[in-house]
This record gives sequence, structure tokens and C-alpha cells, in this order.
Amino acid sequence: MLRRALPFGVLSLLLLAPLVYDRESVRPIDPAASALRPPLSTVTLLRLDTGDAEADGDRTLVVDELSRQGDGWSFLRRGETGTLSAEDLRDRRQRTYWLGTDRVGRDVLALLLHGARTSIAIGLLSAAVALLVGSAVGGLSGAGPRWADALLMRLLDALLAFPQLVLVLLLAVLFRPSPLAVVLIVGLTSWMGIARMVRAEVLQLRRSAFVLAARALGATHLRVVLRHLLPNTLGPALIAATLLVGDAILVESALSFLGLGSGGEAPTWGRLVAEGRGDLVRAWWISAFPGLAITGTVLLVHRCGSRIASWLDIADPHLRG
Amino acid sequence: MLRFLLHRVLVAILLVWLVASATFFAVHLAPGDVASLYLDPRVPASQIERVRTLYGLDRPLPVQYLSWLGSVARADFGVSPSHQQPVLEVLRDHAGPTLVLGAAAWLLSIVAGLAAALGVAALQERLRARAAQRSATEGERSDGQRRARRLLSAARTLRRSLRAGALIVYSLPSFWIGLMAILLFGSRLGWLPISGMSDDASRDLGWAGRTVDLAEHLVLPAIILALPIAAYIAQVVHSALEEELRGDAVRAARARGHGDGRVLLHALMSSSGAALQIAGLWLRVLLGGAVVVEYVFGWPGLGRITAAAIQARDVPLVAATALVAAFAVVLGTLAADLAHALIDPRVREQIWSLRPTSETTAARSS
Repeated sequence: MLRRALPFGVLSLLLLAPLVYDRESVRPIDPAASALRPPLSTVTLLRLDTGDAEADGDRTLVVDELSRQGDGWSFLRRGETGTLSAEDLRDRRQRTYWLGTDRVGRDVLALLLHGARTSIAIGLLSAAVALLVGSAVGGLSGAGPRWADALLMRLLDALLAFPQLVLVLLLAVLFRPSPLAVVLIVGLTSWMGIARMVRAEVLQLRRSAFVLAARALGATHLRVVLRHLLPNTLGPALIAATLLVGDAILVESALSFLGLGSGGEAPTWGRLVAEGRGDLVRAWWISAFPGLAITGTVLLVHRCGSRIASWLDIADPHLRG
Repeated sequence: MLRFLLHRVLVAILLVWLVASATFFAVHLAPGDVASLYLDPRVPASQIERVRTLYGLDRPLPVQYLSWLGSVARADFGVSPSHQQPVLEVLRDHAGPTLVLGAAAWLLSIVAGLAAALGVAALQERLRARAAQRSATEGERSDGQRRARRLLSAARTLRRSLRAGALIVYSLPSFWIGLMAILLFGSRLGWLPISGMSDDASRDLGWAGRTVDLAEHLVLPAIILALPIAAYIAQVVHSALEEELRGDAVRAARARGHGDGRVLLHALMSSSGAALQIAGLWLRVLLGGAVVVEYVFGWPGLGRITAAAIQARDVPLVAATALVAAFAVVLGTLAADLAHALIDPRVREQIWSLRPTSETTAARSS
């Protein structure tokens, strides 16, 4: 049971991660000395006593080595040695940059955890938008008048002719991207598969005995659709929507990579990969880890979708074919 | 066949019209127009009005819509603000590299996808055959049965690893895997050039030298672009193959005494239609992926100018590339449908199901 719930646990932990890894840890400390540190490098942070409580943040030194020298301390900072008297040093602690630092000295792990919420939330929300629009269009198409069906299906075919990424890029250029706009743009360009599936499902259910029974009891058409047809398509539609969560995360990251991301100060994974591009040869870790995070999260989402499919006892589209 | 052809062409024309309309309304329903996007807000209102008149933005929407349809029919997409050049010329100048890259990725994905599907299916067949043999000859002994079961489970594991591999490939962001490939093969190992389409030095080389240079530049982007499509094709064709191998045709072929190789070849022929059924899907993946891959690899094609146009907020150019991409998908799907109808007579019968049913299950946003 625990193993089955594991993907959900990891996913919710990632959503909560910014609470644990707070804004403080994203802020660079002593950029001159902490920039472009490789993964697993450990440094010592020295807080200096300046007598001014306000300026404490600025007076932290990042040093490689620290040793006693007589009364005071001597340290090695980026290949240069320096000394410090005992009373100047307020406290010291070790810090390990597990995944290295970027060019302004921000901890890559902290950035990743910070970006997790943006990526996952945009993925979930845009899949929810797609589920809503897809169910509405599919329901109208399957249960509505024939001309509406013909019209909607041709419209759907036309939308399906666009590569999703190209359509998303066009819309992102037209509408200034904000997190909400990205959710809407990605959601409104990915509902077609769900609509087609809901329509097929509704067309099949329309002929079933329980719908006939409801009709015989005098239920109106609208009531049959809303209370009997659509709820029965919800399971398969939900599973199809879990596929879209992964796709949405990938599309959002491509959008951020191309510089049309959700904006704001939250560092998204796609933007981190783009930022690391300039330092690819010197500092591979800046681009490498966010990409791994994207891949891992998408796989995790697929895992969750598979689990939900097996709980609902629906054929698993995650193992297509 | 003629009725089939006529019907599909009509549907394609309808789709082209809808696609053009969708693009028009997306561009015109967005807040802000060309005038307010490119002009400094301090420009006096009368000047803005003049620009709007110049671009015809002051006319009623239906009139603009009709004139837009007319200009699309004449392949006139307006002038690109960032290139200061007609959009059509920009597209024409950059179409070549994209065609080269797309064709290479297309061939590669078909070969790799079919090879993966066939390889896995062949191995599975062999394992199953051996299991059947084991249980027939050593069936009485308890470990004979166990061994047969183990062989069968190995065949299932093979099938699952194909699925898992495909899933991992879909989950890789192409921009990231492209960067990692550049890092590994381009700069750490130094095997391949990392950017662009040719080296400056290659201009002095002869015809053969230039071809080799182009091929070297093509390897990485083509592989990255082909990866997800190869995974789709492998998965779809593999399932079709599995079904085919259980079917009567294969049993009949075996009864006639055909060997494994010949049987597999036959099964592959009749199941490769499955790859054609998802043609629309992989064309979308190919064209969408081209934007990112060309951007990452500095490939001087349509994808890269699209990426640049996005950053310059060049709406006419982005809209035109979206339109051209959608036209390409419609035409490609039409061609694939016709090819499918040519090799499989059953397809010709399903005139009124506008799309192959299997795409419903295979449909994923790309």
C-alpha cells in the first residue's frame, strides 16, 4: 500500500517544497565567492560582526578553508588567503551545495525546489482546464444536435492540425504571459483528445439501458446528459487528463526555455535550463539538473496516472498500444 | 478509390479554411494590434491612426477577414516587422534547412521505430517458441514447466521495457536533451560540431566535402528530433505486430512452412499501416519539435526564425509559421491517408469515419 501511494507522496512533497526550502536559501550569499561552485562542494559561511544588525546579510563571507592562526583565523577564499580577528567572527557554519550553484551564486537545489511548485501547479491546472473544456465540448458533441456535432468535430480537427507547441507560442506572443495566461493557453490547446474521447463514450452510453430507463421515467434531455452521461465519462476523461499533466509540464518548460514563460520572480525549470545554457561547458550542472527534474516529474505524474487508472479499473493509456 | 480520394481532398480543403480562420481570429481577438505593438506609445494618435489605416485595421472585422482569406490564398502573409521583408520571402529563404532536417529526422524515426518494434517482436517470438518447445518436450518434469514459464515472463518483460523506454523518451524535454547532447558529443568528446548547418571552412571543399560537413552537423539535431517520433512508431507498430502474430494470416503462413524471418516480414508489412494512421500525430511532433531543436542547435531553418520572431514579438511571422505548419500537417495527413488506402483496401471502405479510429486512442497532444 505504501509503495502504491509513493508517487503521490513525492508529488505533494514537491508542491510543498518551497515552504521547507524558503526564499532565503534561493538568495545568493557572497556571489563573488559562491558563483559556479560544482555539485557536492562544501563551503564555510562566516558571519562577520559589523556592529550593524541590519547589514548582516551583506557581511557573510563564503570561504573554502578556515584555520586557526594564533588569536584569529586565516581563510582561503577563491584562491586568495585572508585573515580575520577572533572578535570579528560572529559565527560560522558549513553549507553543502549538493547540486552546485549558478553564475550568481544561487543554490541550484534550492532553485529547483522553488521551481517545482510552479511547474507542477501549471501542469495540474492546465490539465484541469483541458478536462473541463474537453468534457463540455465532448458532451455537447455527443449528446447535442447533429449539426453541433459536425461543427465541433471539424473545429477540433482544425485545431488538431496545429502542432501544440506552435499554437502555444503564437498565443503566448499575442497575450502577455502571466502564470494564469500560461495555464489557460496550455489548457485551451490540449483539450481535443479528451473531447473526442468523451464524445465517443457518450455516443456509446446513449444507447444503454439505464439511459433508456431514465428517459422512460421522464427525465429531460439535459438531465440525462448532466446526471447520467457525463458523470459516467468522468473516469476515462480523468485518466486522459493525467496524461495531459505531463505534457503540460513539458510545454510550459519549453515555453520558459524560449523566454515566454510565466514571468514573475519564481524561477521555472525551463528558464533555469536556458540560464545555464551560456555556461554549459564551464558549469554543466546548472542546465543538467533542472532537465532531470522535469523528466523525473513527468515520469512521476505518469506513474500517478497509472495508479489512478488501476484504482478506477480503467484500461491504462499510460502504457499505450 | 475515386470517391475516397475526392472525399479526403474535400475534407482537407475544409480543414485548410478552418485553420486559416482560426489563425485570423486568434490574432485579431488578442488585445492590442500591430499599431500598438510596434509603435512607441508616445507617437501621436493621428500617426497611430495612419498606421492602422495602412494595415487596414480600421475596416470592419468581416471585411478584414475576407481580405485575409484572399491574401492567404495568394500566399501573401504581409510584412514581417522584425525582418523588414515580406513574410513569404522570409519563409522561403529558411524553408530549405528545415526540409533537410525534417526529412532526415523523418527517415531516421521510421527506420529506428520499425527496427525497434521488429526487434522486440522477433525476440519475443523466439522466446515464446522456445517456451512452447520446452513445455512440449520436458512438460512432464516440474522444472521443465518452470523454465517454460520463465521464458514467457522474459518475453513479457521485453514488452514492458519497450513501453517503459518509450515513456521515458516522451518525458525528456527536447531542448534539454539537445543541450546535453551538445555538451557530451560536441564539447566533451569533440566528435561532432555543435551548432549551425555548416562550417565556414567547408566552403572551399568540394561537393563531397560539403556533404560530409552537412551530415556531421545534421546528426545530433536529427536524432533529437526523431527520438519521440521513433518511440511513437515503435510502440504503435509493435502492438499491431503482436496482434498480427497471433492472427490467422501468420498461422497460415507458418502452416505453409515459412520460416521466422519471412513470417515476421509479412506481419511487419501488414502492421506498418499503423504507423501511417498516426501520421498526423508525428507530423505535429516533428514540426513542434523543430522549433525547439533548431533553436538549440542554431539550425538556420524555419524553427529558429520562429523562435527569434517570438522574442521579437513578430506576430505576422509567427502566425504565418503556425499557419504553414498546420497546412503541412493537413497535407501530410492527407498523403498518409491516401498511401494507407493504397496499401490497405479495408481503409477505402471507411469513407465516413473521417479519421482512422485508432488515432482516438493514440491521440495525445504533441
